[in-house]
Amino acid sequence: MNLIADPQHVFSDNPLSSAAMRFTLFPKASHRGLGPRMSRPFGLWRTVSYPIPERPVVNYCHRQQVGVDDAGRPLVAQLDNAKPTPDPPKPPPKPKEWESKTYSDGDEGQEEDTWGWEEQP
Amino acid sequence: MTVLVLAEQTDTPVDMVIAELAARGVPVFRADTGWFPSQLVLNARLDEYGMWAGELRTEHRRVDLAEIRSIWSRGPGAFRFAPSMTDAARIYAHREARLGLGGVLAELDTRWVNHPNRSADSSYKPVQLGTAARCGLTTVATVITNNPEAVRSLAGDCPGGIVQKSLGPNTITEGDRIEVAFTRRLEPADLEDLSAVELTATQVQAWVDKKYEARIVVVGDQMFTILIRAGSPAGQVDWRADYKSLDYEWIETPSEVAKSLRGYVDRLGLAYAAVDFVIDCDDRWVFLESNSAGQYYWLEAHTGAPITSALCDLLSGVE
Repeated sequence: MNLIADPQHVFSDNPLSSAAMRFTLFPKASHRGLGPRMSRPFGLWRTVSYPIPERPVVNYCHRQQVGVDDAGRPLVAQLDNAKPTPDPPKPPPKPKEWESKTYSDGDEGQEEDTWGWEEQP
Repeated sequence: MTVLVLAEQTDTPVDMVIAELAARGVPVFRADTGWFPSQLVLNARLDEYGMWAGELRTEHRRVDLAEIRSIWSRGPGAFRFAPSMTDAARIYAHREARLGLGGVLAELDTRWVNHPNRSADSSYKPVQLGTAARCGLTTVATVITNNPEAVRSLAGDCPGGIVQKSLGPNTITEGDRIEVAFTRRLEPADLEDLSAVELTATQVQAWVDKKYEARIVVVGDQMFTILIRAGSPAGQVDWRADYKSLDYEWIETPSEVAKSLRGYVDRLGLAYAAVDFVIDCDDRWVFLESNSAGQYYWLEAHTGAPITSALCDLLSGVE
């Protein structure tokens, strides 16, 4: 009787296991592109291309356990809307907002690097 | 008792939670799994009672495993190993780290938001749709297939048309660009050549003529329902395609939806979920999907819904 001794084959290569997605080391990027149409899955026939948003370098303060500016002040304290109002619905006018949504939001899995501080227009 | 937060160190919604927990006087240990093993130390030993005792430690702080009240797992980074490791060695090290660090944390008797295994299981769209339907939520006609004829068959059954939607993450990084596969309506011309459907599993659904959409953010016992109105054709099909066209409104969750949704998250073992609905022209709330790690903060920023505060309540044990 053959026993599979390598857990990788038990978990990470199991084609039907949801856990396998978490065991996979995803390549960060493809350099071969999406390939010709005839070999491209139907869901990739009409994609929309975007430049990868720059991910700003944020100083991290281990003492406060949050992102800080060059003076060591927490970035969240500088948000106009840092204290959400308890009563709906009054969106703050032109707030500085954390860009916490992505093109893939709503989907499970690894988020792309599309996070960043942004000043709303 | 301490709240363990596992997240990347650049994540402002997490910063918001940390700041509020600090203001409440709740001890927090924040770490990124990307710090393991070079900056994060695990020291765990099975004690005589069958419990894992020990600590997590960084250069700056430590937490006793027995003192962890709750764990908020919000997309922490991948383990990072010495560049000198070969690929084979790194794969082995990665697996050992996951089974060791992940295994010890998974065994702790604490509240997870969310437990990684529950999140992984609930990432299956077929599981979501089946569970939602059984819990009383309205779902949409859906086919998952690698058979082009099955796609045409659904199209024939749906006079309003059908859409194709990815079953998982819809982005592919290519060089310095990302390719995004938004939900798209299939036109008659699309149905003429469906040969690519044979290449892998493909999900198609009936198009729902909608008035607007909603995201319900479930945080423990609380629900925050935000209506999302799209102001452009692209946003009408998939609101992720045009954020700038969106308007938001925080409303009370319809009671029947709330009741069924409570059953849904309980059945999937989720303490947190961002759940997307469309509201059709007859005011029916139609379940689309859920995301156990879905974003919420931009909705809070636009509407004032106190989701950060609710997360703090959940993590610190305030019921």
